[in-house]
Order: sequence, then structure tokens, then C-alpha cells
Amino acid sequence: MPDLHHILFFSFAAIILFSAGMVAFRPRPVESAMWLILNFFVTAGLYVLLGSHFTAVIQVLVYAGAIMVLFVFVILLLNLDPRELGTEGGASWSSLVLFMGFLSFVLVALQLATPDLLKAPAALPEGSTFGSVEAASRELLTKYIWGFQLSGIILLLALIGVGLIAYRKAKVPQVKGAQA
Amino acid sequence: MAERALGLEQIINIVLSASVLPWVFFFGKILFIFTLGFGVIAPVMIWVERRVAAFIQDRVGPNRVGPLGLLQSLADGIKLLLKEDLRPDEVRPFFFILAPALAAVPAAMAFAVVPFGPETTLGGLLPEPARLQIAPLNVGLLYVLAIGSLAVYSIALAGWASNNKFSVMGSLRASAQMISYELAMGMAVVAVILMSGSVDLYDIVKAQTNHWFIFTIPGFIAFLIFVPAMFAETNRTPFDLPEAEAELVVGFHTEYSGMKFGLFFLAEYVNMTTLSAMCVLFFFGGWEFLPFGLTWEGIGYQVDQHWFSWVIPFAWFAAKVAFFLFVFVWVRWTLPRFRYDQLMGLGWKTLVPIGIANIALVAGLITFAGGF
Amino acid sequence: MTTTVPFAYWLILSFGVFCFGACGFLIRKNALSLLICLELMLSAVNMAFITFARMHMSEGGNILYFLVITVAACESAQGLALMINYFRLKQNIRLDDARALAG
Repeated sequence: MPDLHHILFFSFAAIILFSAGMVAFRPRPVESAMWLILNFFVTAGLYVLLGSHFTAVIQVLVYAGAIMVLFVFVILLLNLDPRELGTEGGASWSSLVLFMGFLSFVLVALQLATPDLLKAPAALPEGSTFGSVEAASRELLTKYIWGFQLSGIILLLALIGVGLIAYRKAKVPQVKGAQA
Repeated sequence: MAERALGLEQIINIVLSASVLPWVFFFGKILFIFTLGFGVIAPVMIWVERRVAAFIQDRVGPNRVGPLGLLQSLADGIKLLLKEDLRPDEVRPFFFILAPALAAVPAAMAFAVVPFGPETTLGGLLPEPARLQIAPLNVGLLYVLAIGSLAVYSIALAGWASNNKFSVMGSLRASAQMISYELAMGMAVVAVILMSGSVDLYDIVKAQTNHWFIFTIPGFIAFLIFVPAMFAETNRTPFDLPEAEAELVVGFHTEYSGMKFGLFFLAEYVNMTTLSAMCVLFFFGGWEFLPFGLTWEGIGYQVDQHWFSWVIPFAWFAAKVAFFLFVFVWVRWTLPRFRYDQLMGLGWKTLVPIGIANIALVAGLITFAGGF
Repeated sequence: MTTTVPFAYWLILSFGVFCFGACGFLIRKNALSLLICLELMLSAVNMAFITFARMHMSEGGNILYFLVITVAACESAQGLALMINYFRLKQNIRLDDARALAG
């Protein structure tokens, strides 16, 4: 009887790879965005399989719930037609192949260097708190406090930057014949 | 005949044996909670909404179908189901059908983690105390927030797929509004997390044994932020700008009819119920009897004495939730709609700063005063 | 819950998703799709981080995930703001036309 974890992993992986392909190759951005939301959602499922509940929830909350909402919002706001999107094609395939080749080389080297990767992983020890909200937040607020503070500053800077870039004074339309 | 009787007896024995009972319990609560949510609360709420609206406007309201018009929702449901499945010409078909489904699915998913009673062994039938909650998640609160943030997709897509100016305006408003008020709601909820020290909904209720959070200063401020955010997240008056029937026809669901509209409608009422339940769990002690230590144990009621003893706390919890559902209706027919800039101003310039200050307050109280 | 699937599979999956993201990034010609593919690549990297965290039973990978997601949020907000401004200027988001600074 096949292992439940294997079944779940491979079905999730199939959905993730398929939706990733759709994200990359569907012509309209709105379709890409919808497939990406599905991708993020199933990825959260994979994180649950890995025992990392904190990241699974953050994945749905931040990626699917906040970042992608922003994308969908902008897609709606611009409401682009195909002409404004430009034509596809003319890719730099050579750089693509080179890039992929390099990455696969790294991956193969990694597998060769650590043969343990292909063995079934050891079970979590009894009473392990790996991936729980408590464990992750404790590490985040003690050992990695500077990284945490830095991420806060980055968010603040991004907020100010977006305000500066996107803000534009609304032009009040002049009504003909209106008395000032 | 004898063989068959034996078989039946065996089946009963298996069902009653401890190995199968947890499964019966598991599927029983799924059946119970979803029947309650989609089959009872939503239709009854639609009836209550119309009757209360009529009462506030000095009318009679629907009173023809069944006693007091109670079967009106059933009649409406049949009407919606039997209506022609209309699809306007210029819509984007796939997304047009996807949007109502995306409204109903997150609503049901969030509803699945609402705990509706204390931990129980059903009077000793179960080997260990089980939670009256379909999915006993230890990150329940974050899960509700996460799933709640997905509701915006259905509205955004519905407006965009309808290919209609009013719909697009409605969904743009909805997206901006829900992102903004999610932030305010998050700030209110962080204060609750700090006070209870957990993101588990059961632990949050347990932390309120001695004092409900509504009776603490930071808890009260958080409640004041949570309630407007709750109205905004469900797109109800005074924040129903995405629908705004006076200016946008009905916004994002202008082009929807029949059961596709019905799904939006159902999702709205289920979301209202989920958020009301969250409000009760966060600030009003969940299913506990009264504040200041007067719990069920405190007044001598054993919640685990018989297999049905959980019903009383559950009914008490349901009564509290019903009160907030009534507030939703009450506010809808009393207050006028906000203007769009007022809505954004309230969210970003009032609720979010107060929320951040409240987090600082509660963190300071816990660190320096040892309590709140 | 503890997985019984070897970590190599998780890394290969992450690699596959990253490849799709990179392909999309290199062949798409509009700014919106580019940003979306960027998110896909970041998500793939995150998957590898979580796998490594579980492999070494250390929360470090989860923390890195948290930091990456912060940067992803900032990056997408900035990118979308720039794109809206570009659209206001040119009425399109075709990247092939954005060659005002090309020599």
C-alpha cells in the first residue's frame, strides 16, 4: 500500500508544477495571477506536510491574501487590452538554457555531496516544536531580532517609496461656465 | 432472518465500541456544523433581516409563507435554484462562474474552525476530551484571518468578469476596502493574541475564565476597532460601498442572477456568522457563562456529565453569536452609508493608528505591570 | 505531521518551480507578468528554505522564509507602483518600448 505522505506529496507537486507552468505561459496576466494563487495555496499544503505550520499559515495570509490581492487589484485598475500588453516571443533562449544548466549542475552536485537527501527523512522527535508558531516566533524575536527589525524598516521604506512613486495630485476638472 | 438480526446487532456493537465512536463524533460534528451554518443560520438570518428591516421601517415584512413568514427563505431558495442560469453576452465565462464558487468556498473553510462548545468526552464515551470544532487547529486564529483574506478574490473577479463599469467600480472599491480593514482587524487581533498568549481559539477562551477581554482596557479598545472592521470585511452597511445600490446599481453582482447570486448571498451570511463567532470568542468569553469567574464550573454545572451536557454551553454561545448577528441587521437599517474617502480615512487614519497604539499599550502593561 | 518523502524530491520540486518562474521571466514582454514570475521564483526559493529548515530541524529556514516574504511584499508593491506610473506616462506596459535610455 502506497504511503499517504507520498500520495499527498506527489499530487500536490503535480498541481504546483502544472500551475507554475500556467503562470509562466498563459498570455493574460489575470490568468497568470489566478494560477499563482492556486500555486501558493497548494504550496501552503506542502508546508503542512513538512510540519511547518507557521509558514503554511503565513503563506496563505501574506502571499495569497495580501501580495496577490495587490496584483489582482492593479490588474483590475489598469484593465489592459492585448495591445497594451505587447507581443510575446523573441526570448533569449540561450541565456535561459545556460541558467537552467547551471542550476541543475548545482542540484546534482548537492545530491552527490549529501547522499542522505535520497533517504526517507527521520521522524520528528517526540515533543518537537518544529514549525509551531511559538517556536518560530521565539527564534524570530530573540536570535534573529535584528533581521526582524530590519524587515520592519524595509517595509516602512517600501511604504514611503510607494507613496512617493504612485501619489499624484488629482486634477480637479474645470467646469465650463462655472462661477468661481 | 437470524443471521441478519445478528448482523444488525454486530453493527450496533461496532458503532458503540470506542474504536468507531471517535469517527462517528468526527463526522457528526461536521454534519452538525455545516447543517447549522448553511441550512439553519443563513436562511433564518435572511428572514430576520427582512423582518427587522420591516420593523425598523414601520412595515410588516414577509409574513405569507409559513408561520410568521418563516419559510420565506425556503421559497426564495427554490426560486433562485429554478431561475434560468443567465449569462450575459460580454462576460468572461470562466471567471464569471469561478467568482461565486470562490465566495462560497472560503466562507465554508473559515466556518470549519469555529469552536462551538467546551472540550468534552461526551460523558465518558470518548477516550479523551475532544474539541467541538471540525478542524482542531492550533493556529486557528491565524487560519481564520488567512482564509478571510481570500474572500476579496471572489468580489474582485466577479466585477472584472462581468465586464460592466458598475461592477468594476464595485470590485475596485471592495478590494481597497478589504485590504485596508484587514489591517485594522489584524491590529485588534494582535492585542487579543498578546493578552491570551496563544493563537489557539480554545486557549483564547480559556484565558478569559477570570475576566472577559471586553472588560479590560486594551480589550475594549481592540473591540472598538474589531467591530467596524467586521462590518467592512463583510461589506455590510455602513461600509457596503462595493454594493451601493444607489450609485453602483448593486456593484460587483449586478450581472449575477439565479443560484450564482444565491452563492454570494449565502457566503455573506456565513461570513457574518463566522465573524460574530470570532467576536464572541475574542471578547465575550466564548461559551463561558458570565464574566468574572462565573464559569459553568463556577456555578456548579458539569459540562461533561452526560453525553448531551455540552448543549447548554453551546446554546449560550449561540445566543451570544445571535446577538451580534442581530447587531449586523440593526446597524444596516439604522446607519447611512459612508462616503468613500470617509471610509478610507476612518480605516487608515483612525483605526490603524489606534490599533498600533493599543498593541504598544497591552505589551507595555504585560511587561511592566505584569497584567492588564 | 512528519513527512516520509526524501528531501531530494522537495528540492527537485522547488527547482522545477523556479525553472518555470525563470522561463516566464525571460520570455514575457509585459511588466505585470514579469512581476508575477518574480513572485513565483521567490516562492520556489522559499520552498527550498523550508525543506532545509526541516532537514536540519532548525527554525533558521523558517525565519529566512519570513524575511524573504517581507522583501517579496516590498518588491511587488514597489514594482506595481512603478508600473502604474509607467502606464500613466505611456498608456501601455510593453517593456520592448521602454528604451528611452538605450544608446
